[in-house]
Amino acid sequence: MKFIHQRDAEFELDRLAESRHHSVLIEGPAGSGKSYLATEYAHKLDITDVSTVSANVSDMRQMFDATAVLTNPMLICIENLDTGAAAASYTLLKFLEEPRENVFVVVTCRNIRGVPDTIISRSVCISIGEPTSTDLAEYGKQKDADAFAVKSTNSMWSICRSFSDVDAVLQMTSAQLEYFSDLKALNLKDSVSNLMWKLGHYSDNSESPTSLVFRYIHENASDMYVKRYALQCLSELDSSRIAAHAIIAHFVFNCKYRR
Amino acid sequence: MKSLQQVGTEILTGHPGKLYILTGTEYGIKSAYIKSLHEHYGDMKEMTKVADVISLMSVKHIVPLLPCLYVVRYDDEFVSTLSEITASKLLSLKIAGTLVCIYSETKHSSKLEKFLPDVTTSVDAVAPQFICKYIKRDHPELPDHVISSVVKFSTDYGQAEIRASSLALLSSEELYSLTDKDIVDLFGVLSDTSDSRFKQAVASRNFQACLSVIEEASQFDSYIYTILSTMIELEKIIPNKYASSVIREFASRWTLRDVANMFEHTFQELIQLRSGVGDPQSSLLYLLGLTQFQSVPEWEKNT
Repeated sequence: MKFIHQRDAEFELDRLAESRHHSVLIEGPAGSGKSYLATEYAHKLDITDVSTVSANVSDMRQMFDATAVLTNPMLICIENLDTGAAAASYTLLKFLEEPRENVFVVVTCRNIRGVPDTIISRSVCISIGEPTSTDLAEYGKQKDADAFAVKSTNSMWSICRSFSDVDAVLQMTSAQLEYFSDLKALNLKDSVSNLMWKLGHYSDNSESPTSLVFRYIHENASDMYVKRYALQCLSELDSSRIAAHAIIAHFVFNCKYRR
Repeated sequence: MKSLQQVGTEILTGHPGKLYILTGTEYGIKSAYIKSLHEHYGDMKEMTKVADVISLMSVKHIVPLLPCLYVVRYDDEFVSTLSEITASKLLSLKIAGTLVCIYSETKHSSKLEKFLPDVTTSVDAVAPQFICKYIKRDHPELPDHVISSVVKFSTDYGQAEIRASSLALLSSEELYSLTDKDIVDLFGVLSDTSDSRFKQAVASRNFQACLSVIEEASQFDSYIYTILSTMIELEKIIPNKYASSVIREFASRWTLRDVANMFEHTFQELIQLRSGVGDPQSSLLYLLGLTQFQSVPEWEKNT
């Protein structure tokens, strides 16, 4: 699939593939298709062996050690390096300082400021933005045309900002879609712990997609404080440095006690 | 007052009553019962007011209403206007299905128990053996020793249910080989003793007691999360004198404003630490120092 918001990145990757550049850093918001671009880069390099690891020291070390015995070319995608511990960046740096000829690395991050300069200087950096509404619709149709035909008319569709949001909305049942309308009736007189439960779970007790919930609240709340706190919550969730339940609790405390 | 066991038996055996009023602070159990009733009837309607349900049921329908679950949450107006007459009217109402009214504040519990004692049930902290029973019902594939461990290291039904749901994704071989230590490591639970002691020390605002716990610690990060969870628990029990908790006796040492301010300070310290600023031990000492103020100061952003 080709997306408008990735067009420039695709051209850049074409150019890098010609020179077989070993290290690429892709920056973009969550769910914008950074890992997808990593697999596209592998295709452009004619590499079929693609492995994805999270920015975790033990996983990365295991992967890098495994490349020592490889003869076929492979591409390693390290996801969200900026949300990992500093030790993960040092592990990657050590590998980049002595790169193996048949191993290509694509690092993804949400915020390039969270990536050490030493890694940025050793990589070619590409930035992508949020998918456009056309991109999201195209992705939705390709993913599940029937569900897209139904869900694209629902108000939830208008708050989708990423491909992962689209995945979440396409899979929602009608009861789960109704959950979002019920959020408007959330009673702030309830205790923080009960509100945390409601914000984190559908009525059938399955977990709700936290980012979508807070984006819905931000878009639909009439109270300016609630809107502001929801936006703050989204920013904290995006950084992924703090547990989601603590962020939800923070949002509820703010709405109840700091207005 | 109707007992929780009786309510559970009626709902879970598929013979629900017409009316339930669930008060108390434990939300996970109420949520599980609502889910059970929803499955029983196949349809659920969330209504804003009890008066709306009364109006709906009082009208004669040409086509009778199909039995359905009606849920009304935190209808303060109903409680404020509750009297012998309105209670009698509600009890004699022919409800097509079941009506569940949810409340959590103490001030509502006493009035509801006075006028509607036969249909009001308080759902506060549930005893561990009942949590085990509910988890076993929801996740029959989990071995008994795993359920016991999950319940032992969880603070309430809601937390135990989440942990049990995640463990249910493991294979049978992995489940049967799980030990208490594995579960503690998996969920990042502090050992029961130190977590409980630290929680009580923070709630009691006893600086020496807090220091004695953290002096034995090698990792301080998790204690910062414990402060957050202690504030969440205090916020729940301060307005509700019937809620049981290991830190119940210390609730009177806090106001809701103190709790909110303490939560904010702790959260902001966590943000700093995650951004690589400061160290956990210093942050912890700073936070514990705040509990020594008569009123926990409000957090202000440094410009």
